[in-house]
This record gives sequence, structure tokens and C-alpha cells, in this order.
Amino acid sequence: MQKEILDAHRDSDLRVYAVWFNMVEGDARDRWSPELLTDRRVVHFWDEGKTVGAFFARRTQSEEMEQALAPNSSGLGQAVLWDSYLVFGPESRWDNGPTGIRRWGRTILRTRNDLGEAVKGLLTAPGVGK
Amino acid sequence: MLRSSARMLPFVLTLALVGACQSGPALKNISSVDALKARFNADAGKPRIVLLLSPT
Repeated sequence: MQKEILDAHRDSDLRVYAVWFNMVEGDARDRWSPELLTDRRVVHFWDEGKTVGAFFARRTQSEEMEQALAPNSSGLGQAVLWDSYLVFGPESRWDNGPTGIRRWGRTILRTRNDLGEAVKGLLTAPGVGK
Repeated sequence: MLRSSARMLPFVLTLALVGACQSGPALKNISSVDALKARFNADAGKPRIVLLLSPT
């Protein structure tokens, strides 16, 4: 993420919200590494109750989310969505939930090419990204 | 002794300033989606990515 997305688009006004929470044995807040994502455009949240992952897991069945799903995604249908990304365009607005999702996928490693393509397409669109 | 300390003051202040500038990212506790929602809407007009991650 740091190298392939943020460093590759160093001058863009992309914003990244990294929401961290416990999912596997050994996870803990004090295991969080600030060195993984150091770009100033990243905001880090610790979500002890997994509320954000649960929120997005509930939305995965929506038509909008289904259409934006990266083809090689796996491990879906869990109560908490994790190891996942969701890409939104500049027009997106969050009322009951965020609108205008462009692409999402799971796992990040498995669908990283889709993530890269989605971000590239978004940032090279006329009038977007600067 | 006092004069020596005074001479060190700019050096100490510089070190403190550099340390502050080089501090890593903060990890903010949230207990609901509201904080993310607020930040998301504050950045309207920009492309945005939400990452859902575990620390290990």
C-alpha cells in the first residue's frame, strides 16, 4: 500500500483511513506498527469493538457493493469485514453509509492489482486527484 | 554552569523540534463508525480509501 499506492501517487490528494482491529490470535493494539503506513495522507484508527468491520460486512450484500467487488476476492460472508479495502471517488458522501464505492476487495494481497487499477483510474480522471 | 546551560538551550530546543516533527502517525481510538464518517465527509471532494486491517 505504502509503495504501490501512496508513493506511486505522491502528489495526489488521496486520503486513506486505516482502521485497525483484533482479528487473529496475537492481535493487540500494542502490536500495531506505526512504520507500516507513514504517509501523512493516512489517518489511523483503532477500533477495539470491530464496529467498522461489522458495519461494512453488513453492507456487502447491497447491489452497489456487489458490483464493485474485485473478481478474485475471497473469504467473504463473515460477520466482520477485514483484510480488505474500499475505494471511493471524490463525489462520495456518507449519510447512512458511504455512497459511490468504486472498488473493494478481499484479501488486500490477493486483489491488490484491482486496488491499484481502481486508484490509478480514479486519479487520472479529469479534474480528480489534485 | 549557568552560562554553559544557556549556550546549550538552542541545541536542546532544536532537538525537541526535530523530535516533534519526526514523530510517527497517531492511532486514534474509536468506538463507532461516527469518527470515520466525520473524517470521510470532511474530506469530501477527494478520492478516499478505507482499509480494514489487523495488526499482525
